[in-house]
Amino acid sequence: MYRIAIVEDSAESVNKLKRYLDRFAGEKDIQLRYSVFSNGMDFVSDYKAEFDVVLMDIEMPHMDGMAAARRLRKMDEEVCLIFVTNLARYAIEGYEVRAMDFLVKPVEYVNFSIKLQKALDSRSRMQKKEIVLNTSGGIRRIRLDQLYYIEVMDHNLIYHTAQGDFGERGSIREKEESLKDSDFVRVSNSFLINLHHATAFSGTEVTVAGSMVPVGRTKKKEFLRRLTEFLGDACL
Amino acid sequence: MNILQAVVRMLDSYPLQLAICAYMFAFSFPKRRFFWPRLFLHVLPMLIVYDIGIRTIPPGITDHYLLNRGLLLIPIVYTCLGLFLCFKCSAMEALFCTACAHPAQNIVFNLYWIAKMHRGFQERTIQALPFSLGIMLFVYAAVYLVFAARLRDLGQGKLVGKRILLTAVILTLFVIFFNQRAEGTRFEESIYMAYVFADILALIMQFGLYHESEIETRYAIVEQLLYAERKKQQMTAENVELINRKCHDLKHQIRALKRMDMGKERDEYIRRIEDAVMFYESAVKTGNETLDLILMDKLLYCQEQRIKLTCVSDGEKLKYLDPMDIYALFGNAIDNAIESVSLEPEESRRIISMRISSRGQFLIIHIENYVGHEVKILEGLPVTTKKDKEYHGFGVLSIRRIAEKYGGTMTIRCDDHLFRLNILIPILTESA
Repeated sequence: MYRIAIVEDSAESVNKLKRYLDRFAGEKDIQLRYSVFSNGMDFVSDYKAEFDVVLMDIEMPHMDGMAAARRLRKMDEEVCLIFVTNLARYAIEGYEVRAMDFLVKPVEYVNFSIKLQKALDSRSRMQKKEIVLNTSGGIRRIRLDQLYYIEVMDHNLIYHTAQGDFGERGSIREKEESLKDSDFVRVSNSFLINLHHATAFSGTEVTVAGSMVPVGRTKKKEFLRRLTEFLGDACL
Repeated sequence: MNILQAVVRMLDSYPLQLAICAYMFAFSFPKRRFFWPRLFLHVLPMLIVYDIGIRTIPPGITDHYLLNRGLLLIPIVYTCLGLFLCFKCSAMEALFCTACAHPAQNIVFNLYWIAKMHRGFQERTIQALPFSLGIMLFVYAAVYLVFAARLRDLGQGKLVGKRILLTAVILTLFVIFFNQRAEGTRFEESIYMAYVFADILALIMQFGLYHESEIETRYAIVEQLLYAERKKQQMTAENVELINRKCHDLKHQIRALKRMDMGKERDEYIRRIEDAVMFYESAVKTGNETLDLILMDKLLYCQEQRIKLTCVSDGEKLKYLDPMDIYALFGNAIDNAIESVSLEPEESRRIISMRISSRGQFLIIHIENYVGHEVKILEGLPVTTKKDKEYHGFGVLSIRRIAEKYGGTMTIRCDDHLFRLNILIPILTESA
């Protein structure tokens, strides 16, 4: 189930978006719940971070979409934002509030469905999955988005996470297999990294959450391909 | 002793020599999986069949000139097949390498005969071994440095056109049928020298043509650029016309406005005019001037063609790229997308969306467009069925080349009616 916010002053436009959402939910056989706000002010005052996607008009009375988006980003960094607008400009302003894309009015269903699908795909990847570790100090749960990379050392796996390092016995090959749908990539024989935390690449080493991790020569090509697709498709 | 003799016999055999040369020419091509086992499986049966053949077929039979020469075609075809199975190359490339291999090994054979004449050793004996090995080493090293290394430097892909291949094959056939045994004739030595000379000439011509085709490729690139330039000019001319038309409309709208009374209608009217003007003034601000210019141009064209092009961009990191590269990269990528969506009969599907973003020290460029039909992707590049596929294919290749120039990567994917081009460029200037 996904929750969508429509922030739009024109009733006609709201009805259209609702129709599209119903049609989309029917076609893809998924559940969508939506809430409507008639201006930016209503939307940001009393905002709860409960939405997956926000469809935001730019030209609105009281508080326009761009200003509302700036306020929104202070409260919710992760929600996927799509502007609905008369003119497709604002390239850099759109980036500043990390909008995923623009929908230019009149909005057509094909365009709407492509962009909504993309937004939902990226939301489903971000959903908080957990991994359970059987460490010497007992059972520990780690959220995948807080796991930076896994290192193998003498049949021990070391998990480098936001909470610190944890050890567990196990095989890196099995971990690679079980995490392959979660944006984890094997960069060498002994390292499995989370693409979410990769921030630089020197040609031989990738920086993951501040640590330099060596990239094996035979893994480099596949690693770069995965990283390129991951960063390119993500709504950063 | 028997085994040693068999080894000597095989070492000097035509099939093995041909294979050595052919593999030498093809060696820079990407190898298929299990390359060495494949190579072994290819060469070993050939040697066994040859060895059995040479011992069982009575010597007199192969004296007939045409039969003697024609038999050589069997190892030639077999070697060509072997190259194709061992390397990731086209059939034409395999044939080219095999065709060049014949004259190369023929130099060795002819020099060997000359050496034999002077030294008086028996062919294919252990006494002959130092001579044959010495000549082989010398000739193959020379051929590799002068000719084969050239294939390696230029890389695969733009290698073989039909014309080059045809010439290479004809030259090789000529060398095959021209080269008769000349022992016991009056000018034996000169004749063998002439054969060596013919072999070298054949190689020079085969590779000379290849060099020429390389120049042609470069010429084609220049032509591509001119084509792009002409197209750009044409588009800009259309844009100027569009702006003129809009200005004309604006003049009339302003005149009408003067006559209008104050009120809601008039405000609405002014707002619309503002919007129209804004479009030209501040339509695109991507954070990079070069990209702004490109986008301005493309946006006007897209508006006219009813293509929806949207862009979310942080062009700040683009400053690390050469403006020429930005121009070529985005120009090509957007043109490809425009060409692709222009094929869509339904206007609502003409959708292009771009995102230029940064994370850490990565610059990320994402361009996607709707496609009605699935595009086949082969080895990371789209296979186009369009007539102007040379222009199109060239565009994607040059995008990849630019990305790789900065140590970056380009990927292409097509699913769910979306064609996605992703480029990742690591920027290592700041605090690295």
